[in-house]
Amino acid sequence: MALPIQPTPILRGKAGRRFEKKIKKDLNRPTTLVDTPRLEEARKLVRKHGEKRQE
Amino acid sequence: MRKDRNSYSDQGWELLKVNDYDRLKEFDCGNVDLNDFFRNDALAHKTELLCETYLVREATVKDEFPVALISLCNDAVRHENVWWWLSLHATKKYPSYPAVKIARFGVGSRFQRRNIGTHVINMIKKLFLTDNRTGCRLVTVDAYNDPEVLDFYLKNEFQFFSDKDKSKRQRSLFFDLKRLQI
Repeated sequence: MALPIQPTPILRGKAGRRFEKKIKKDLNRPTTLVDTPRLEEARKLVRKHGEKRQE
Repeated sequence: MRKDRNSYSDQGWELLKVNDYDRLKEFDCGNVDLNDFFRNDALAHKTELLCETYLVREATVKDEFPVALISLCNDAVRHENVWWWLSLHATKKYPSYPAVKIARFGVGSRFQRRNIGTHVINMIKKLFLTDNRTGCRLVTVDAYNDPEVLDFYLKNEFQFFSDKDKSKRQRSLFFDLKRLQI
């Protein structure tokens, strides 16, 4: 049997305050989606594999 | 373009809710525990309404074999700060953030190291930022405590909740959707 899904930690006391501060501070550090330059290569590979399965 | 509530499509890759769990028996991502979960436990988690599993496929390929699988469940991040209620009136702070949890995620062995994993994470971020039925502020994950796995999530802008789980088998990370600009 696979490992159970772990509960997300409850952030108490200092850890909670630190988390809250971090969340607030990081709003000034916006982020974008991560680049995926090899995705076309992946697409070709998946299509090729799909063709093989059809044969 | 989204087709219905149970699917999401982006750049020719589709995220589809799994209906036929027998199809997951052939899935192999090279990790024994992940394979075991998808092959044997995912259906029970769905039946118990604990998790939904989605398969990722390339839209033009007729055969719907899973390129990747991802199981999601609802989550909340509670931060019990005893002072939170003092500032409640000023800024409407809440003692928890609604979240979606990546309970399990694996990319098929033969398709790894080609950015599929990152693309799926991008899809999840977009889906829950733009097309969510309820509020969702964070994406959380319990990742195997393996340098390669953790590096993947860190590259995808996830952050550790704390160092307390540093020596545990799994580590909890989060991504704040509010930071995302798309």
